[in-house]
Amino acid sequence: MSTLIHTRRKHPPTQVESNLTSMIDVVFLLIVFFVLVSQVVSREAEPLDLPEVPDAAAAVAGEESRLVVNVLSDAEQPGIGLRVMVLGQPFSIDADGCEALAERVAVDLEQQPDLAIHLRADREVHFEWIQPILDALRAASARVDRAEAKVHLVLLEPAP
Amino acid sequence: MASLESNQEIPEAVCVEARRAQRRSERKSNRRSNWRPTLNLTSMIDVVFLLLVYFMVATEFKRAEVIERLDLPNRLGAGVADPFEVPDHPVVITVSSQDTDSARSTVASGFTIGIEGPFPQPSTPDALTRLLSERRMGGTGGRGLWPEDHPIVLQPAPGTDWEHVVRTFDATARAGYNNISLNPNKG
Repeated sequence: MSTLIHTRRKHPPTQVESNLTSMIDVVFLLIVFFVLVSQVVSREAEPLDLPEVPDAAAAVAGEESRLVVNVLSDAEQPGIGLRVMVLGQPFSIDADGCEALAERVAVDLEQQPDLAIHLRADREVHFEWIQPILDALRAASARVDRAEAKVHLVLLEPAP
Repeated sequence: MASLESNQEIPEAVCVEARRAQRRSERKSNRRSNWRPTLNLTSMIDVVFLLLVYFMVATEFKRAEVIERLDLPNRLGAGVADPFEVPDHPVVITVSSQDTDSARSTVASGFTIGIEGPFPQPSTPDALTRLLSERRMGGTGGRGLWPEDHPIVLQPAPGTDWEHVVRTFDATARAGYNNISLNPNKG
């Protein structure tokens, strides 16, 4: 009995340890991925109040290539369109700004014939500020000699 | 008498002690025979909680966005230059916001819809959907005459909020039409 205990003491129970190196590798990879993706998304979509429609006949945007045109509202004067943002590039809502916007959209339409234009406008902006932007989009699609630009209105998903 | 009592007590205490020791040794041998390797999860849980907190803080909780297809008016690609030339007689639907002040209105009653022509005037977007659906070929009731691509023109009045325009647009699209365009109010 005493010899048995003696030999057991010579071999202590093995300690099982987990190697965390590969997990940390993967985790850091994920962090970098999400940081990059969130930056891309926020660069495309400006923060604004989208219009909300109960039980809208709308669809979730697919994986098609798109160009997001944001129409921001003036914080001091609700209803007044402040400016248009396309991928972080500002355009004013006047004759010159709309001309530049049409130019910018036409360049993208030229490169990608199947491009969809997503119009993200603040819910408070009055329609007379949206109309020149629609005209600019139409002028852009006419410049590229397309039958019709695919324009989609962006709204909030209906509440469940 | 007192010594006798103490003599009786001592063996009993020894017995109790012996039984305890036996139990202890039994437990020890038990533990040794059932010994299994265990994984130390502490550090993994640390990392996982750190990640959880990071994503909770970093995530903006917001609802998803959906899209609605819009047909632009006056398709210029076909070379049509005259904006006043329209095929068929389009159904003209007017929209105007009732209150355009800074206070956020409850939008359900905040705007009025009208249809130009001899139609009953809808008071809500749902009524507009019903009206247009009844007049669509193959719509509800089955007595409609307008095809699906019958031109419908939305004419928002100056000062109409974008949300009201989108709501009217949605009400029209839900009735089953696919040729809806936005035009400014000429008047």
